[in-house]
Amino acid sequence: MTPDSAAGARVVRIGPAALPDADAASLPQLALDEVEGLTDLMTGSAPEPGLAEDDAASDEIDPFDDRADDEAVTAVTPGHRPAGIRRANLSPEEAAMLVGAAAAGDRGAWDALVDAYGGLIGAVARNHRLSPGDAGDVSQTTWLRLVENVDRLSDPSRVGAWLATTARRECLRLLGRAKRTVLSGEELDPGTDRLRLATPEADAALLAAERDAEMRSAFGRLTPRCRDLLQLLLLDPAPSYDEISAALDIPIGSIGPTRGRCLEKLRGIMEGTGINPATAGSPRR
Amino acid sequence: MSPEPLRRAHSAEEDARPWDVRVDEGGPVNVVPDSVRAAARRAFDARPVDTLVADLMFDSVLDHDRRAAADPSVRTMRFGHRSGGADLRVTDRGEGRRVSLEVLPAQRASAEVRCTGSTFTVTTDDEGRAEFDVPTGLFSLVLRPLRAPQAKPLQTSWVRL
Repeated sequence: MTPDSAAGARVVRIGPAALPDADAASLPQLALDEVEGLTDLMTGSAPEPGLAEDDAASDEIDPFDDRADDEAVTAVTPGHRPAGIRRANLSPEEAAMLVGAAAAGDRGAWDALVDAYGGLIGAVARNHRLSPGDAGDVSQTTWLRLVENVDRLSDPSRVGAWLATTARRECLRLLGRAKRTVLSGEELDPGTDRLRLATPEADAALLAAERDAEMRSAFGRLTPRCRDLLQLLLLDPAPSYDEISAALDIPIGSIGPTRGRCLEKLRGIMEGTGINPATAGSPRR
Repeated sequence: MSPEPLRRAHSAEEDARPWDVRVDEGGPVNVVPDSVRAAARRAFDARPVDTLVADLMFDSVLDHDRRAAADPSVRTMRFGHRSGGADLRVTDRGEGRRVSLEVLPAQRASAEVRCTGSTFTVTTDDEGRAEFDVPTGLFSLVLRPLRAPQAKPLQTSWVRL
């Protein structure tokens, strides 16, 4: 983070230690914007990736349209993104075009690929519960793998799925190599060599929102596969089903039904706690 | 080759950690950390130019290997291209790694070793073998057969040792 951006933004750890009254150890890492996104998913206000969402998003922001980008800067600056607006992911044609340009030496095209798929790779690493440093390593190795193969991809339009698969393999490689894995959100205490919770440096007021905690709690009661899938669905830009399939190593055809079942289960848990899913997620904008 | 891509993506000195959530005044945005994004962009500098890429065909960390199962402290890898390749046997060596290289097909070759913080060259024997130590981190070789200096060098895929 640059000093400038650091001045305008606070960085908080969204982790179990920030919720002293909850069953901290069992709560998953769930970013605040993901809490809101889950609400959208449950209430049906967020279209499925690759379906209506692409159309809706393309009406709002086209990252490869200069004019639209200018509008996006004023209307959707980072941190001021109105609820429900998500950047459009690359279309297969755009992805193929960028891959071709990067293979020809176009650095701008490469940077655009990084911007488009950096979050996806990060999500894959996070789903493997890697430590932050290891997640960075996986990202770097994955991009090096792409740069070696950028002119040899059999289907450049599916570069997102290729990256997700490569990242997943790099995660497995790293986990297989490691003698032990430090879970994300936790650190080793050098004195005792035991896991300790991160220091509660997060903004207490922000995290104390009961409904957010309930959402995290409910989310934590889902199966790991459900959690991984829903967190991928919340990525911005949203990955395609093809990319999700590659990231989670599940058939494309099962994503939709699994999504439905996971959301139904989440909705049921939320209703069981007396929280209206439609109002979950603290208003922050 | 720029040394930039060889830097570790995440620095412990940074105040922000990868995958943390940045909270601006208008609300939180889940972001890729700047250091991770920068490392991804720098990877472009490592693209192979005038070299053939020998892909990682086998890695005992991922692929079943009876020898590796017997001794988990040893990692074996094979890099292959239709014009040649290399076998690596990697063992822990203090803070770093000891690499035993075998060039395929067996021949005397120059191997440019690219690793975290340095680049150096070793020469294999007539059997294509050499041994050297490297620090942990990213690693790649550029192999040049000495009997055919006009041939395109063979570059192994980047791996993290």
